Order: sequence, then C-alpha cells, then structure tokens
Amino acid sequence: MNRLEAIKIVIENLSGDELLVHANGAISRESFFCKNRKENFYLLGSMGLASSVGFGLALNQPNKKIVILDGDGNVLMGFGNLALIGAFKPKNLIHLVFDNQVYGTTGNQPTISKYIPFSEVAKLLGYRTSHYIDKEDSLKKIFKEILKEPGPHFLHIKVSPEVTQICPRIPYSAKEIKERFISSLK
Amino acid sequence: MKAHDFLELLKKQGFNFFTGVPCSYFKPLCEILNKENDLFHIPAVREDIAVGLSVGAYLSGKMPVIYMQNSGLGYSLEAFASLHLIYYIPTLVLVSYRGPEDKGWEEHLIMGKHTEDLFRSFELKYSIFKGNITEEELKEIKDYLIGTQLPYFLLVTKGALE
Ligand SMILES: Cc1ncc(C[n+]2csc(CCOP(=O)(O)OP(=O)(O)O)c2C)c(N)n1
Ligand SMILES: [Mg+2]
Repeated sequence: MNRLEAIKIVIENLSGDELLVHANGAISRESFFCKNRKENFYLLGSMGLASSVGFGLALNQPNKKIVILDGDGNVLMGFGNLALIGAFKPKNLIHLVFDNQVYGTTGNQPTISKYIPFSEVAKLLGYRTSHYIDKEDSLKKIFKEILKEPGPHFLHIKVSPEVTQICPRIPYSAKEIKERFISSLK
Repeated sequence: MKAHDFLELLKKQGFNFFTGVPCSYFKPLCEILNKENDLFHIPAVREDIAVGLSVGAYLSGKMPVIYMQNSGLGYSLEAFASLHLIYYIPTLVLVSYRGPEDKGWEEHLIMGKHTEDLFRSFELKYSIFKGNITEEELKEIKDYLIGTQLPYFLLVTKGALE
C-alpha cells in the first residue's frame, strides 16, 4: 500500500462529520484528491504542526472526533507534540502517521523513521491505544474500531514511498480553507 | 501592574484560551494560569507548538492568548508566517522583551537587539507593555484582532507584570 491508497481507506471509512487536520505537502493534496470535504483543514506549510492544530481543536471540540493525517518527517520535526498529546490525553483525538520513510513531498530524501518505533513511543507517552499497521485490510479494520473508542489513538501506518498518481495542489487560499472549515462547525 | 488585574482585563475582553512557554518575566502570570481552573490553559512544550495550538483553539471558537520569551519568537516566526498571517488567525501574543536593556545575559543579546526589527520586517503589529494598560487600550487591541483577523504582539518588559 502506498500513501494515497492508505489515505483513501481512511477517507472511505470515516463515519460522518469527523474533523480532519492534514500535514503539509502530498498528504494534504492526496486527501483532497480523494475527497473534497469542508471539515478538512489543510496546513499549507508549518511542517510539524498539524498535530498541534489538531490537539488545539480536540480540546475545544469535545463532541467531535479529530483525525490528524501526519507524515513521518512531520512527526519527527514536531516530536514534542506526541508528549503533549500523551500528557493531556484528549479522548476525541486520532493521530495517523503515514510513514513512507522519506520526505516524500520534497523528492523522497530519507528520514530517520526506520529507526523509530513510533507506535511504541506513542504508547509509552500516554496515547490510550497505539498500533503498527502495514496492510490495507488491517488499516480498514482497526481504523473503524478506534473511531468508536475513546482515544487518544495512534496509528503508525507503514506505506511504500512510491507515487503512482501526482495529485494537484489544493485550489483554495489559506483563508478560504479556514472559512470553509469554520462554516462546517456551525 | 498586577498579573491578576491584567488577566481579569483579558478575560473581560473575551480571551479564553491560554498557551505558551514561560519566561521569568511571566512568573506571576503563570502562577495564576497554572492554578486557576476556570481558565483554559495548556502549557506547551515549544513556542511553535503553542502557535499551532492557538490555531486549533481559534478554529473552534476560542480567543487565544500565547505567552513566550522573545527567544521563542525566533522559533515561532515561520509558524506565524505560515499559519496566522495567511489563514488570518487573531491571537494576542505576549512576548517578553529580554535583551538590550536586560544586561548580563549573553544568550539574549542578539535576539533582544533584533526583536523589534523582526516585528517590523514581518509587518506584525506590536506595542511595548511596561506595566500599564487600560481597559480601553485592551479593547482597542481586541478590536484590531477582530477587525484584521491578524495577531497582535505585546512586548512585555521586565517587571511589567508582578
Ligand atoms: C519548516 C519546513 N521545513 C521544510 C519544508 C519542506 N517540506 C515540505 S513537505 C516536506 C516533507 C514532509 O515529510 P513527511 O511528513 O514525511 O510527508 P511526506 O511528504 O513524506 O508524505 C518538507 C521537508 C517545509 N515546508 N517547512
Ligand atoms: Mg514521509
């Protein structure tokens, strides 16, 4: 499974009005390519901070599920976020890391992710559940399960770095992304 | 001014989400933030993470305040540039002004010397807070935040909050 295939499984198995927060780069574009949802917040830049924005949302939207779509490079850059989320344990937060072992968006330069047992780290830091996933059927099954359970949940999703489909840039300005997103909360 | 009175003024203007990383200048403020439970306060682990948190808080209807040392401003500028300044996220940012006046701390010299230059080059609206602010002045800041949907920075000098 590559990143786009994994993202597609996640999007297809949402139960309804979950709020999605996307790391910058290909993750945002591929999710947008799969489905254009108002409830999606795309970070155009601010690498490392998708989980900060998602955590801020989770704290203040206790009745919604927040799903963070993160990358290995992003998580490594904003590693302190794992500690913060683990410490505060927002029940409504689901943290997905699409780990292709590279900075895919900038041309597949290797990250150090192959040395990092993300799901063990997340568990130790206080996420309520944490899984390592490398198959499509287990991604589907586990994602559907954790959507129903109190979190915070962490899924370390191992994907291949191959890209078979180049997804176009998101056609909205940052301000438009924000306004659509806020209007979906009303 | 008393940190307590300052916080009361902030609350009165509707600020209701606090996050940041401490500076000794904020000791009195943090003491209150860390014990008052009617305030939403998340101590962050890095200043840029606090910047990200404030975005999530704002999107869900809160009025955020971030506090940080100017050293943390260095860590945060890219986060402000790629979040608040393009998505238009109004946030009050308290930045302690370590540096040129505050002698004997070599680690603060360079950042202190350039803090105001950084605000100017990033076109960030700021003023210096020396320990006095009236309700009207704070309301003006609030109106600026709402009107422009941009952040506003208060550069907090030594002893301003006690
Ligand atoms: C602070 C910062 N540094 C570097 C970049 C350039 N950059 C954009 S996306 C990206 C890679 C992100 O890697 P990862 O999170 O693993 O996502 P992937 O593209 O592999 O899916 C990089 C390095 C940036 N946007 N911001
Ligand atoms: Mg990657």
